[in-house]
Amino acid sequence: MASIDKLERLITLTELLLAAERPVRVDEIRDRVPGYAENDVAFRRMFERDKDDLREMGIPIEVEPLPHADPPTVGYRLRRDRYFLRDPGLDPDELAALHVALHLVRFDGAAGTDALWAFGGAPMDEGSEEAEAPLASLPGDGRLPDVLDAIAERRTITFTYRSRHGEPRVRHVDPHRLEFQRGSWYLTGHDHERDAIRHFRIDRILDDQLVRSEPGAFEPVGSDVPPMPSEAWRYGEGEPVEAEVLVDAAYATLARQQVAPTTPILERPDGSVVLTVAYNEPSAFRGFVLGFLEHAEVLGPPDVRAAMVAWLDERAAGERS
Amino acid sequence: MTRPQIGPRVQRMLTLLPWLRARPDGVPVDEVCARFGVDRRRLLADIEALGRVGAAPYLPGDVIDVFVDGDRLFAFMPLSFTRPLRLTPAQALTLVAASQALLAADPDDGGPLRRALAKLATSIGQDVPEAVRVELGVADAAVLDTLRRALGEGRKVEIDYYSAGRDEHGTRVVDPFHLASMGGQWYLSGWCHQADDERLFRLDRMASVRVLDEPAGPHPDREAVSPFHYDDTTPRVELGVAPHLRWLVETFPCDDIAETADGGVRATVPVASRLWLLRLLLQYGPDLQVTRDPIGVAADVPATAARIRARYRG
Repeated sequence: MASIDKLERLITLTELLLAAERPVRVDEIRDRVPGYAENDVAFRRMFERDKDDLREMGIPIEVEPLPHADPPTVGYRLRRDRYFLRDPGLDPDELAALHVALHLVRFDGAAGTDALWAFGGAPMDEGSEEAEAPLASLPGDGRLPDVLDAIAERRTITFTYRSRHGEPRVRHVDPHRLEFQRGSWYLTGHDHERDAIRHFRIDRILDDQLVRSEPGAFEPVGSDVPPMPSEAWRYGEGEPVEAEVLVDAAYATLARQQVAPTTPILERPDGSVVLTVAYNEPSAFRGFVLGFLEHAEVLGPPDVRAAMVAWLDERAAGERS
Repeated sequence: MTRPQIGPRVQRMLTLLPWLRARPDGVPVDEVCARFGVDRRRLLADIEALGRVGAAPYLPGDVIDVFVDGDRLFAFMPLSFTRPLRLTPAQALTLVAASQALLAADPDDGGPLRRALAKLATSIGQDVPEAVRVELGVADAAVLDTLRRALGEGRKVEIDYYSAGRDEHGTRVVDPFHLASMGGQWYLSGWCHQADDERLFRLDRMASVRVLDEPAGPHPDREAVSPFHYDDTTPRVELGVAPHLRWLVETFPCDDIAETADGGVRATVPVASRLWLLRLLLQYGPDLQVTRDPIGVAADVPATAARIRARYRG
């Protein structure tokens, strides 16, 4: 029973605030919305919780000082332009396509098909997709919506980040993009301290809540930011090094798939390939080459080849520390 | 508790009511249930709870009137309530990520979805649809196409496959079940006639794929297999990981992880493939130690390193 009253109360409160042309005082809310407690303390507690619940649902209740009030008093309001969905005018086939996407992609912890309610919900001539197994699964993270929201509103975000190497540090980032790459979600953005574009793995952000600046804190960059590299050995701080790697014929197809499509590849008459691989994370580059075991080798430059030989000599000698 | 429940119910009403308002002839109750993903009992209970709601003093134009008549749902409401609530960031993310993932999976077949995504910019912010990028994993376009065709036609496939766990190339005949991207890798699940069991095959380890004339056999009782297949009988090793390599243990399943005095970690790890561990030891050298090694993988490192080193003569 209590929850049914609450549904009615929350809808009425929303409607009252939407209809009002000016901020509404809290005592007016109490008088006009049925279902609030008589007792002052109990009313205040209920109202605070209703406000929190509505804000959690994305309803942007704002607090504003009332004009000409003496003593100064605040009121509550819902701005229609911030509350209402701007209708995207989806055609039925477009709505159906979104519906299919929601069913074929499993996104852990994400909103479900309720994302389509605002457009009239699921189309009526569907049904077969529901039973189909997902085509793709994406891991979720509670901070992803906040990051996307910060991108949309151009808010700088501040968080503590544990990088691959080194101690956790506080970062200030203008967020530009969310990228799902090699099984993880990354934030791509402009790192204030380094004054450069950096990629941050969302699951290495240590805070549950991100600190966000005011909206409009930076200029949009849009598609000027290049997509993240797909290769693990491109994620280092050092200057990039180019190396030539020879891979035997039987492993050539596998090797081609592991490198970026732009990688220069020379095919030899025996079917083996020479890949020119750029890297700035040496241990990941080593992992790429040694992953082929004795079916690949570094051809050059001489210092990179010598470093690989030295590394292999140490491992062959059973050197463990 | 009512708290986790009230959100979706209020949100549903705030989107349903304006939608109904635009349909003055009413909408069949069953259609509302299907579109808004709600069962009939819940919907009718919520409608009854709302009935005529509004703020005092209940002027005729200020009251929401929602009712069922002849199994159709009607709603009349104030002018202030004409449009649905904007999407939450979580809803916007879900729509954009699912759409971008599907477009990444099947870039040629995205006309309506691409248009929908472009239009959504109006509702969720100009930059938002393009601000999410999804890479589902490495796969050769021809391999993907061939596997899709085999699945569509219900035929067996012959795959030239590299088994990384055994460092072996071989040809398998497979009844394909399903193609999916998990954890940023594309996999084909199917019945492997060599193993006489269900297997997962990584697409980036397929050198080539051919569709056979033979139809794929029926496998009604198949079970889903996971990319990391291990169980209680899989041998465990204990790894000592240097402080700057701590992130490494996040990339594979571990039974147990404990921090060590120097800031590194000690992890108990199931090893389904000796070669997988051997490759890691070769790659990381002294930064990755096997501190308990019942299967003797670490002992293989010197000989393997020497074998690779033999390539570098001259």
